[in-house]
Amino acid sequence: MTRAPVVFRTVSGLGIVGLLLISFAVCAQTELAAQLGINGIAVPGRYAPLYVSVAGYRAHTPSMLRVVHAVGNGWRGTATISQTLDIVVQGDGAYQTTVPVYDPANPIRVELVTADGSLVASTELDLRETMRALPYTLLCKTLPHVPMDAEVTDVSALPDQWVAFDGLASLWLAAAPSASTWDAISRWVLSGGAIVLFTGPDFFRLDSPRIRELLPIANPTLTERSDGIWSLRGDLKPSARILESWESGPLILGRFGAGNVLLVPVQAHTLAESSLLRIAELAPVAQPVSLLETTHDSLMQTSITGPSNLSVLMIVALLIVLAIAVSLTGRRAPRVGWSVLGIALVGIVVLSGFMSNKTNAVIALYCVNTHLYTESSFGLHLVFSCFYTADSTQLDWATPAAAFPLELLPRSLYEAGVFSGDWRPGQATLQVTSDAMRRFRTYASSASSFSVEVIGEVVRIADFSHVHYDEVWLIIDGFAYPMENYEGGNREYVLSENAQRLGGLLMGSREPTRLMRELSNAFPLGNGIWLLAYSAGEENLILGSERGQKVRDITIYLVEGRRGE
Amino acid sequence: MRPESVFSMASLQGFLTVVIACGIALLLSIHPGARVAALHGSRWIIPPSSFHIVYVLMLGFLGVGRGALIAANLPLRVFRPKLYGQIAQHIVLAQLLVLPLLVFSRSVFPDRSGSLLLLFVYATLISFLFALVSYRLDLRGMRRKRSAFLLRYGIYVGYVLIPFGLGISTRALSGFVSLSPIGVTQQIVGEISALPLVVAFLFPVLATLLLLVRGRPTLRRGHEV
Repeated sequence: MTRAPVVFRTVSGLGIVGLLLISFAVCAQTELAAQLGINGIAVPGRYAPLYVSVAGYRAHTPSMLRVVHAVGNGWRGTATISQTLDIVVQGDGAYQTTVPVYDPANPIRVELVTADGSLVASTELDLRETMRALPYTLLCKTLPHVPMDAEVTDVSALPDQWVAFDGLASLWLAAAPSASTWDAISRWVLSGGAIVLFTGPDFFRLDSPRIRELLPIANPTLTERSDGIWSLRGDLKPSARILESWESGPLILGRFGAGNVLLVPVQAHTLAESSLLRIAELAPVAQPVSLLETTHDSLMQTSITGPSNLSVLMIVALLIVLAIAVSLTGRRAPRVGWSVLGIALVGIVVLSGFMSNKTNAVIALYCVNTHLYTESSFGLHLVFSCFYTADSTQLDWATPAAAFPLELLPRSLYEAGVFSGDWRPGQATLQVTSDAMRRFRTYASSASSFSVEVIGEVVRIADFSHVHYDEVWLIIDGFAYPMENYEGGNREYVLSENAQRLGGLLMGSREPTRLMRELSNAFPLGNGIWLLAYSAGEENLILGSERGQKVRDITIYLVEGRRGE
Repeated sequence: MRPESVFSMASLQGFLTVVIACGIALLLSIHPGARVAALHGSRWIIPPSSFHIVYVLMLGFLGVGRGALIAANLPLRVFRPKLYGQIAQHIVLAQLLVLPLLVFSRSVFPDRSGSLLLLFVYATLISFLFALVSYRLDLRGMRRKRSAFLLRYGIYVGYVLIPFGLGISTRALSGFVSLSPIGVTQQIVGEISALPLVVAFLFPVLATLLLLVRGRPTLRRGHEV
């Protein structure tokens, strides 16, 4: 055997082994794919569903998903917001959650990281082509594509988390989604969402307990007209009204919680394009509930914890007297002077310590969280938070709910890095500046804690919220009845005779009245039965090693009741 | 001539000046508002650290004044340790009188006892250094029969302002801030790193040692020898 073939075989063998190793290494890489928003459409300042799939997971330890948002530009200022999701990845799979979206014009990075922060895999989302600047209309795929600026999706692609619908202006449905998606849609409408329902003979497919709650009519029945078109008819619910009467049947707008439901009693394809365009004009637009103004007002009224100026004056006065006394005594007998100084000084130092001890921790954060629980057959937990930072520092903020709060960023991020933060479920590490006011909203679901039933003059209330309320009102058809002897649990009450018109009650300037005014703008409190329970909460001092926080939680339950027989 | 007593009327004036100046600074460090609405967007621009700056500067001024006062009342033969002891007495009494305000300042400024301790040591050092400088300048002035008033206060004000002014004028000279008592105080109550802290203490320590070693405090007026 000659030398050349041996070298050739060795080299080619090594080459093959090298190629195998490289291909093995390539195969071993964890792959991450992500989609943000329904059909990849995200709206700035709104929540959006995030779908992540992990393939080829090879890490030996569990990993976490992290979303990193770059916000702003050279004109607006920049910030980096990092969200570590409460999803633990231990293998290949598909994961879904909902995250706040801040600036989809910038790349959004989704990362898979280990507990020690090392990167396993990452992918970057470019949403510039698909993002919407404002909330948009989403049409069910079976509907004609009118209006043209609407997005179209398959019903099966709709998310099953209600917060994921936050980016929609309205949702047009003509086919039944899954039960969990129905549940999510109902919650979204309850929170201020807007839905257009096309029924007709499709009502049989759509019908479910959820849709019966949403429908603006009771006892729905399908009737066939002389031209063979099926139309849905029923009895108008108290908060519903007919927008327009068409030959095919009336367009009925109903309220459900803070949201709106427009009922089109026929199938979409039986309507002319002009009719669909008219529906687009009349269609309600989602208006998420907001109690931020009231929360902001409450924060402004929060008392400041700090030392008193009078204490300083008193200490200075004592020190002046002491200095004079020591000087006078010390001139005659220096030892006596020093002794007087020592004894009196110990007393003043102790006094000074006592005076400042209460406020030893400088309060860096004043925060008010308004928790609004609104209930139908299910519950929503909406939190509106405002905080004021008195100091430039980095602080840990215990968020009021497990979900990620969505910060309402100002147009100008005037100081680079100020709005940057690291968000984890239940906690955020934020870099804050002094004299800064920041506002957040957090959306979550909750279990139903109340049921309210009015039978004649008697109200039956089952309350399992375990909250002590400062004020409770029952509002029936626009009249507010104060519940002065309200206790929790399952009890019956006789309606008070001191009923006031809701309008009169809204004229005051007290905190609950301001809240009620803001609530009455969002919810149809003038119609039907509503229970409003309000707890102002205490100002709680949370003392850290250096800087403290003062947090106040206002709790409001707004429950729609029903009439019993 | 009797040595200057810490209990004399002139000394009392100096101590009262320090206490009142520090008291006013502490008073102004506290925002008078009672609600968040009063804080938000407030034009109250006096930072909490202003108390600490005034405290260090006043201790420095006290040192300048004490040095001159001691020099003016110098006995014929001065035993060096006794001179240093006398300066120390003045500084200790001033520090003791300000101690309740320092304790109270913890409620205005984040609880950093370590920073307060550093500040206490630094203020003592500056006060002692300038008492020595002032003492030497006054002795020289007496020998030449010229008042050293402007010179001693001019040197102190220059030491406070010139490095600070240089330090904040351009980024390249920012290191000079660590030489000025204003800059050092700001760094101590903020978050100081090791190197500026060493620089901040090194200069006054070396200057004090130099004066202690090379100084001849037993210089006395010619006609008294």
